[in-house]
Amino acid sequence: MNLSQSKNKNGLIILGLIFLFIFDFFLWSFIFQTPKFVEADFLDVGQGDATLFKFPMSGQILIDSGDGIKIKNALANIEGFFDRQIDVWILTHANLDHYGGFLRLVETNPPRLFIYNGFDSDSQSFKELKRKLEESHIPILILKAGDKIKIGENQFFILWPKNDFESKDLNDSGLIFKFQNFYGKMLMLADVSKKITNNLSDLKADILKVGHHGSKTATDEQILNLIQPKIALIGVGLNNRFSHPHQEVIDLLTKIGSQIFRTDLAGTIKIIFDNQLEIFPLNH
Amino acid sequence: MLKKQLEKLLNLAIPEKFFLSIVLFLFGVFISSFLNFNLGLWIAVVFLIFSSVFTFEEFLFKKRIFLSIYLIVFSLGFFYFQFYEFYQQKHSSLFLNGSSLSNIEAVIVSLPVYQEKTVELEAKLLLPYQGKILIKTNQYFQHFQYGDKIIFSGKFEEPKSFNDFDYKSYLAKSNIYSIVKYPKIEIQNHHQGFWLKDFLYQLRVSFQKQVDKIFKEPQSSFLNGLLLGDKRNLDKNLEIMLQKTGTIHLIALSGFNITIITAAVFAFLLSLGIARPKAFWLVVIFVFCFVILTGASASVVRAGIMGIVFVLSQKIGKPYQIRNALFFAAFIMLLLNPKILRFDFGFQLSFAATLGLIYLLPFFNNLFKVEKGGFLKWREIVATTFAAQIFVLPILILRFGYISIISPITNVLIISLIPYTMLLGFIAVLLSYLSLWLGIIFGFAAHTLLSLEIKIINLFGSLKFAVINFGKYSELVFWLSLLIFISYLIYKQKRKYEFISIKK
Repeated sequence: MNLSQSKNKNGLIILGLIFLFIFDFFLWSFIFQTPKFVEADFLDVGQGDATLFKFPMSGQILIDSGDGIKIKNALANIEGFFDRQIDVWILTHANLDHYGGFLRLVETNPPRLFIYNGFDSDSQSFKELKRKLEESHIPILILKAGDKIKIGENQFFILWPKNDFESKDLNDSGLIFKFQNFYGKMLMLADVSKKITNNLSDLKADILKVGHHGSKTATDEQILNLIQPKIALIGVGLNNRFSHPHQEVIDLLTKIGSQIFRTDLAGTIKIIFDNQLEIFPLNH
Repeated sequence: MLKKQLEKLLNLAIPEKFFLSIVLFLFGVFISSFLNFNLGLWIAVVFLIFSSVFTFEEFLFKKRIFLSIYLIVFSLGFFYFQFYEFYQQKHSSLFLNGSSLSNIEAVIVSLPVYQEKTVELEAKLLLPYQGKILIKTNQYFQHFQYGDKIIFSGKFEEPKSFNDFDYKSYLAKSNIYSIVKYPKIEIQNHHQGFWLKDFLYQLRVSFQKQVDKIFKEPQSSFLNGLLLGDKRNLDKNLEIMLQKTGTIHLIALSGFNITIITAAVFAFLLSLGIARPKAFWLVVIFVFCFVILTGASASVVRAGIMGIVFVLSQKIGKPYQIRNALFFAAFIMLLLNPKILRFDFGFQLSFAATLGLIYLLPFFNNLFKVEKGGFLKWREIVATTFAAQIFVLPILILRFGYISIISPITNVLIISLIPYTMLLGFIAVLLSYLSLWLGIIFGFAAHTLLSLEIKIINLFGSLKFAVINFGKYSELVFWLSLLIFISYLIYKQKRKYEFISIKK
């Protein structure tokens, strides 16, 4: 009786030690794994956009979040178990396929700051999102063209919407970003139509998040000539009902020599802003 | 010859008589469920008169009356189904179908089912109307709860079947005869339901939220499935993989999960120093509450009733007969709602699997030499999987058109991990109420196990030969296997009698 008890006790101690050792291992590997370069993950969230920026030794920014169905899976795919704080959420414009994921995350993983363009949608779900943000005392910030977000050497320039811009079309009110650091530039066109983007200046970038999921309403030859993207990212769901991306847009991108990555075919696309500007499609 | 058989029927021991009565009741319900309402009512009445006369006659001639009691029990089952259906339709919203109504008041009576972009609510209409309806809404961002009093305007429609799926019968099973699609809904009031249910559902929702906070997807929804039978947020792809590998029963909260949880609670109570008899009653109360908390799906109710019968038999010192406990559970459940026998898929699966365990486990235990043990208890798990699956297979074929042939392998690889996963996950959730980070750190152990299980499922589910597809032959296979099963039973019964007579 006594013997088996002490055996049991020994077993428990060994189990405890094994657990501690594993825990220790993961803790240290977690510390050593901290990356040196900015990473942008263009997430596979089905039909919709979501991009996660990770800054070394600093925070994370999530720009848009898809419609909410796949956001948790997509984030879990690129983050470790203990990696769960996203500091800033940015909503380019109040369409469900861009903020649905925020609705999904707001109760379990709220951010510290919420940024959007100031154009509210009348839909109940958007009101619900704002109500929940306010309920959790998360500050809401409105940014317009000319504003700038700076994280160390990295900068986000906001190119659109202008201060006096007014429109009933929420798509056209979308925040247009240009991310820039020493290694590269990335332009994110939200869902804004080409009649607006064609009047903007200083668009040249290495990487382009193609406007409006590859719709022909957002992309034409003129704007592609201004941007000259080497890499084009398109956030779409497989066989979506809008038949995005449109073939015309794909043809134009191919013609200008861009390498095209689509989330419906390649899954989440990981971009590392280092000397080579590395791209990894994390095929599901 | 026939007389001899009847004699034997009369001389059965009491538990056997009890068993046979219930079987006949179930059979009555089953036959009745195929018949048209009016016709059925007539046949039932005729049956009842006939059997009463028969009883009376036997009583008069001072014969033993057990035979006609069997007849009566059968007719009762038959009549009960018809009566139940008649009563439910009378008190339903059936006559509202096709009309658009505004400002209807109702109370949500079950757990809201959140899907990708819709929510399904089961609601009970308040006076002047009555009956249960299903509301489909796209207000999925809104937090609906059990017991919410809502007011809505919309069109009442008759449920339509789609893709060979008899949606109408599926809903009618829960006494829902109307569906209202995308009405405008406002919540007026909370907590208008039964207090205990309300309390337990709140507990459940809070528990799920903690799981969501600690775990990431798809681990979080997998664990919610293991602990609560909730597959609300489960990735569609993973769900298909679970079906292909024959492991979907794990997250449907089968008797397996309930047994683990009950045993864990019992051990916990004993370790606290609570006396055995007292612990029994606490376990009974716990099982009762847990059944409600999980949404009282057929498999859980079945396991719950059987568990309570087991505990009671221990208490009064009578042997526990698992077969009778199973049929008793089925009887109670059919009294509550006789329609589940034919229309509740979960009930059929759970009943068939348990039946398989009862009748075939000894055979497979022998075949796989379970007493030898082996790595990961593989012999025991393979034997159990075969025994449970063989009765379930025909139903699965009828429903899905395919069966998993790698299910014994995946079950062996996964099942022995499940109790630990459940326990570690549960402890992590409890700790997270103290501090979220404590829960997260502890939860890493459960996360590792969950990820491993999901990896195994995805790996085996993506194999080309994981399933056999029956396509259009599914129905044929189903009836064939039923035929084989029944002839086997008759054969076995005959052998038994021959054996007895030789012995004599």
